Amino acid sequence: MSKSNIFFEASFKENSVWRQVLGICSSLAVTNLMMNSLVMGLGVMFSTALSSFTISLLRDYTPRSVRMMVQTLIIAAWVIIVDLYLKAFIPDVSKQLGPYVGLIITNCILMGRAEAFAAKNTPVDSFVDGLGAGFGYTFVLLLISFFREIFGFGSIFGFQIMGSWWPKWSIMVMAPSAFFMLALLFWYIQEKYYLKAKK
Amino acid sequence: VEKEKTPFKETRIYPVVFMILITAFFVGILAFFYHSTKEKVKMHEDMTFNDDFNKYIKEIKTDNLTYFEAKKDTTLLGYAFFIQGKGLWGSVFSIVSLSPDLEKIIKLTITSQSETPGLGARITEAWFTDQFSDKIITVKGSPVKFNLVSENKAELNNDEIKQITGATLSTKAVTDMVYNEINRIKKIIKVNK
Repeated sequence: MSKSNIFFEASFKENSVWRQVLGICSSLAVTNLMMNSLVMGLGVMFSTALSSFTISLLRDYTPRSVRMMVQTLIIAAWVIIVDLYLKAFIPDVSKQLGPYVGLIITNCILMGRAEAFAAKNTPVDSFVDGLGAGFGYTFVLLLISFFREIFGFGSIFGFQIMGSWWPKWSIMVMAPSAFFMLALLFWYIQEKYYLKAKK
Repeated sequence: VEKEKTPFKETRIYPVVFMILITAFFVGILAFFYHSTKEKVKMHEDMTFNDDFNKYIKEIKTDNLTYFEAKKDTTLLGYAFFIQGKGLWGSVFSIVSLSPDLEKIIKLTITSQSETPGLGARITEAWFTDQFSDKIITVKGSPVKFNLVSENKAELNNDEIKQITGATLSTKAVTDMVYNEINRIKKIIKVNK
């Protein structure tokens, strides 16, 4: 498989969120502002790509019995590096995201890609696959947060789009709207791309 | 019969050795990365005090309270206190400054919190904390308990604070913190009137 195929497969065709239903918790939690979603998405993208790369690099030496422990260790190390990087260089965003960056460690996408792809493929392929999976995740997050932010705050990336006449839908800022938006997205995509293909 | 030697990779000790080595390796990398960013992180967390600060502000330490006194020449401008309270997900730390008679809030600043981003975390936004400025905290000898009102209300009474829509608990955490901590402070410090 070519690199672009791997990327496309991981990001859209087998998208972690709408296809494998992984990483749902964070898609619900950080999607009320586009900026938070973008940074969270980039964080996941980098940690997935780098940890997939490292896991794949060590795959021939890793004993099967401790495979999961090694994966968790590598993921945790990369996430902490991303967290420290944000704290040191983008402190404002780091403050906004607070505990969520550290929680990337428990994001199922990373473990999912490690088990499903990185454990069997070459480092460079795994890196591309991780980037793709992270990209697909970022795409979903931005899509959901676009609707939540514009309806909930009347803005996009913090820039006020709607005037003061816009009644802010506070439900869009709160958690329930994330469930609705995610379900609508799943429904639309399943109906349009996957169910049709089956029929 | 000569016993065939099992390769090291298949021995039972191999996973243990591997795990120890790889843990040490990654801990080493993290330690290095932590050390190289430590200065920068600390710089962002510390408040930078310049000479003006030292000219006007004096730190006062008593047995159970550390606070700051602001003086211009000989006029007392007010006091500032570190206060903390329970938020929805973790502790909320802030600094509140009070007038010299401890009857009025001058300003409230949230320094650290771990509320939900976009919801409770909005307690750090200026429109929210500015509401506390100029609030009188004792009316007829009893401390004022703040009531929460809708974000859209135009005029505010002295005992009203606009709540953050969708983050009632975080808002309440801040008003409770201000109420409890100011009462605690007032029990400790007695000012001469």
